[in-house]
Amino acid sequence: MTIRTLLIANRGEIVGRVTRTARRLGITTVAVCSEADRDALHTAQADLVVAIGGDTPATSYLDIDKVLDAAARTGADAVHPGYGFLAENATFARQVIEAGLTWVGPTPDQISLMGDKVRAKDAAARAGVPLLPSTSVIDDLDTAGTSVGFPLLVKAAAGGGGRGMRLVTEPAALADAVSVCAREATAAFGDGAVYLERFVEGSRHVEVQIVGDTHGTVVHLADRDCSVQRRHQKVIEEAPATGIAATTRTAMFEAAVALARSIDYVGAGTVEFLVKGEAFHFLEMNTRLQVEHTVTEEVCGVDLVELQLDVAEGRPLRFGQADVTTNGHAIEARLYAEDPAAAFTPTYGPMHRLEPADLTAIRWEPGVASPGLVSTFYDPMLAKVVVHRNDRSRALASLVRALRTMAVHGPITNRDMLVAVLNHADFAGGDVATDFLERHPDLLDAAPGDHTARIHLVAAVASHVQTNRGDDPHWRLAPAGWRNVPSPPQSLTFQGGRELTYRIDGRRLSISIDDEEIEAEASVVGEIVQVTSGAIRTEVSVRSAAGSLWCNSALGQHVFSPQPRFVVVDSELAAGGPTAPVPGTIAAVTVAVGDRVSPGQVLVVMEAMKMEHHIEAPAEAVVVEVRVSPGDQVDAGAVLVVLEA
Amino acid sequence: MITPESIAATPVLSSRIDTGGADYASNRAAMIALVDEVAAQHQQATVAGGQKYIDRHKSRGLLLARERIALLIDQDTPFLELSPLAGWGTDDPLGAGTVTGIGIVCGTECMILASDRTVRGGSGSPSTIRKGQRADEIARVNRLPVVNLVESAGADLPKQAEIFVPGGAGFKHLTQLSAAGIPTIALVFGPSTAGGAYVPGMSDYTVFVKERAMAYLGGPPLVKMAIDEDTDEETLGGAEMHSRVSGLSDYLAVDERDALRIGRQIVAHLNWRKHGPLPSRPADDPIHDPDELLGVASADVRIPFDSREVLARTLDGSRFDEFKPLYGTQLVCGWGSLWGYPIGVLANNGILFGEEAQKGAQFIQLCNQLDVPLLFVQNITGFMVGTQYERAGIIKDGAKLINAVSNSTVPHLTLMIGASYGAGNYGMSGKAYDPRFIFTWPNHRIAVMGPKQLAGVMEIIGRRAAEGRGEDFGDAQIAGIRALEEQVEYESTALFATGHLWDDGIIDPRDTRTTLGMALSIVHNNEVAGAPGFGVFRM
Repeated sequence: MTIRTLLIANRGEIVGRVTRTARRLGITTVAVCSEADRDALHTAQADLVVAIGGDTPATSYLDIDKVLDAAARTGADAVHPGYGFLAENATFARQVIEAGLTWVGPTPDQISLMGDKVRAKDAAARAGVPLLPSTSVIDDLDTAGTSVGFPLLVKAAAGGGGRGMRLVTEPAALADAVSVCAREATAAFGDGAVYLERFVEGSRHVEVQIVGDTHGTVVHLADRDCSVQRRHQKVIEEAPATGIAATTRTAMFEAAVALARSIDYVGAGTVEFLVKGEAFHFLEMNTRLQVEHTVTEEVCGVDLVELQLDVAEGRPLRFGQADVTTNGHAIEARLYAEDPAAAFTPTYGPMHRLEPADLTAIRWEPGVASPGLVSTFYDPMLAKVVVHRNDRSRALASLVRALRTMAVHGPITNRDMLVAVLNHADFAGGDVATDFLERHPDLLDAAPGDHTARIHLVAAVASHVQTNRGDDPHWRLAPAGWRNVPSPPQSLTFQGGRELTYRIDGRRLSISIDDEEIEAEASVVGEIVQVTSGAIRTEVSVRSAAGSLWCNSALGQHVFSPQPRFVVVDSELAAGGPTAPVPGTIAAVTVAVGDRVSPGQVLVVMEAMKMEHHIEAPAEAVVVEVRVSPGDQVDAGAVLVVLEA
Repeated sequence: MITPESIAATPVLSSRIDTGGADYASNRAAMIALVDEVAAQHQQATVAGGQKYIDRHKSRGLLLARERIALLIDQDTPFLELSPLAGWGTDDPLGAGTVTGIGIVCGTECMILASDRTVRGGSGSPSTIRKGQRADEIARVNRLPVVNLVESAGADLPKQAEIFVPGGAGFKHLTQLSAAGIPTIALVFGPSTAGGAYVPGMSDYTVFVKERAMAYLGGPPLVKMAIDEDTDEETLGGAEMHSRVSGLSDYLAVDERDALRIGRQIVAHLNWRKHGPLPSRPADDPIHDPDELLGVASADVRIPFDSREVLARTLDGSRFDEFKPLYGTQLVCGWGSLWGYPIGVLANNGILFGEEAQKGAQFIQLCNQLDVPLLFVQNITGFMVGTQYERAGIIKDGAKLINAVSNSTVPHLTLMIGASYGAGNYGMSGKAYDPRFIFTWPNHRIAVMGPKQLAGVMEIIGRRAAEGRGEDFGDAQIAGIRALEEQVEYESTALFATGHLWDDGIIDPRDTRTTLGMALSIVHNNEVAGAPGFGVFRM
């Protein structure tokens, strides 16, 4: 059964990834999109798009009926679930199969087995895979806690991917943790079952990629290290994992294959381990394609999506374990719209430009269009940046450069943090555990250095000036800010209240900001600004979007948002408050001192010339004084209510 | 028609200056010294009120005149300040306590006048009146909207005798500008009282700054004296009152910045359109470096130099199509362009003979036929004298040139790059001939004749008179003549000239192209049309 039309039940970068392989194999692709995603990048990547309505995941990508309906309407004969959403939903897999479609993934039973973390551990134990002490029998917490040992984690049985976890370091805190975790698990997964598992501090997250076909073959495709995580979610992944003893590695591979083989696993899957020193313990198994599958593809030279489709079509794998070798080193960084310095709060808004400086230097898997929109409804991953080089240090350097030079003109991202992590000596030395970011909180508000900031500031000001000069219809040929008599410098305020003044003399730009004097030469040609400072010339591209100036160079990126020189102040507020438009009598006063009023809100009703006049608040304000009461006679122009912004 | 081919076929001026030579070096050194001297005076003019008053003004959170202007004009645009050294060599404050100049407000070239409160409270001196009236005149003839930034304590009372009568014309000019369709805007930042109240009173648009602007004919003491009424300034003439009650204020501004914002918005809505043609020629830079203008002019004003060297560093692409190049060679005439505006140029290369005068008169008529603005480049010691030339009719020929200059109606720009002596000043569109703008280089000298000649003439006359009376012409008389020579020398300097409003300002020679370019753009706010006829040319 050859797949001819493949529906990809997902959004974001994985749609583009699956589409790329499918197209190469001659398969027509179908994307689905929510209401919020009508113009999303993935809708432009597939051959056919079905708008399935809804904004939230629950009313769109998680709605099985809508997805199956889209498949039926487009004549799709197979479904690829991507990752997340319905990818590990056994019910969905079953319904796809029952609808007569090819399911690109493991069997529903395999999905549900591994989806239940307690049953999964039992399966692993049966296959001889090393496990951490754990128990799902928690009727007697004292006994359960003692049997597992502290510190321990309380985990949701239906959880996974780090969701629904709680760390407990002492027996006294266990009861609370269990009840909170159970409550959260009920809310998040509809299943309140929890279990306890020993916590190993300072361990690494290493996983093994496996593929099984329907003919009984299971092979591994080496390992990946995914230790750098935030909120239990991976941000940097690499293959192969560095600094793992050969014996440990071999044992881990064998354990992963044994587990998969023990359940006749079909398709691509990942067996995750916690590794500390030479010891490794089973964590969980993911029954889908992982976000970080790219690094395995790079070092193993395979196309995992193609393998998934081959297996789904019932083809045997065309290689054996002996054929699997790794070549060089690959690293993936996940670019997220989030603010690491603000506890990784997701950010959103227009993405004016998302563009690597050199597409030939990286593997680029974008999830957001450029220009596009980062929506609040979905995972804030913007793109994956993958490099594959001969060795790890080369790969690190290349990825740093790619990230640093990338134009990311939109919401705040974790880019600077990624660069800081990749540049960190511990990371370079391979000394990385899952608590890496917790141990290095200084990396969370990393930023390009002061030198870069100065160069970019000069470029931004020079570009701003050039734009202003271009707007001059009369004296464009005169030098910027030309004066024949000494005069005050030009001034500029950036968003955030940073003020600066500057003078221009030919190419020379003198900027005064925060008690610092910056002297440099700048020449502007279109978007390119050459900044010469201390005899060193740096090329900066300055692009304007939504009133902000985005500066990119080999040194990094900065954004400057010049504020308008003038703000419109409401004249009524300026006067202290609304006044009587005509002489008349106060009929009613509808506010009192201390009230917060909104624009248009009626404050006072006046009667004059048999007409009723409604005196409204001109803007958001607080009532600080009411000068009139019903029955008062007032003259035109009298202030009735004093407001304060 | 000007076509790319005709542009390519226009001769390009070459330069014969040896920038490595001793003459160039000494000329340059002398000019730099003069430029520095003028720059120091410009600097002085910006703080003429004294640091104490500047600090006091700023401590009140108020903007200085030039800061207000910087906010009023479009960001990063130039500002061409006029008469910055008005009052030099007089009793009046340097700069006359006011800033005038032309800047671009919301894409419109505007005449801006700003009183400087830090100089004697913003009170007006005789120079203030002359400077303001020159600004009004420039606005009128070039059709520039006027923005007045008002904050004045009124007249400098000790000098009232020099101020009161002529000062009244300022209000007349405002309403005449309005009548001519030239918008007038007053942004009132502080007191604008007594006669000063007529600045907003006569303006088309007014903006009053809350709690700052004040306008009344008589202040509380005077009101008390006159009608025994007790009142305070805010009640009498505050911004709120004028905005809500009297209607003298069209807009109430929250603060100074808000007033400037509103002023800009008013200009934005003027729907302004220049009546002159747009630039029509390539506006490429001169091929010769304008920096070399510092070494072009002779350090000694009596030594002539080739004015083409100046044109070569000023005109677009150094292109210059010379007219009658073989005739009357001491007056260089020809066509070129500056910032893309076609211009006719008359530039002195020595004294004027009959041929030069006739050539100039013919060229001025041609430019009037073609509606092409004229640039006069003055370095002139006068018309030729002597029996031979009188017999040849030098007066008649000079009259032809003065006739042509006087009746020409295309815009004239005059640039003083050296001497300006005698009737040559008139024939080359000197101050009295109403050029739209006159700018001078710091080496400029202006007088009825050179100080030495003048002293020599006085000595000859004195000796003859003494002889006639049978008296001695002794040391005392000679000392008197020397003193006169020194006085005339002082009164001939560029600083003295500019202090007396004989020009619109002294410029750094390197800024010649920029200044003239802006001036040309400004004059094109009005139509550019040649004269329908001239006076009778005496043949």
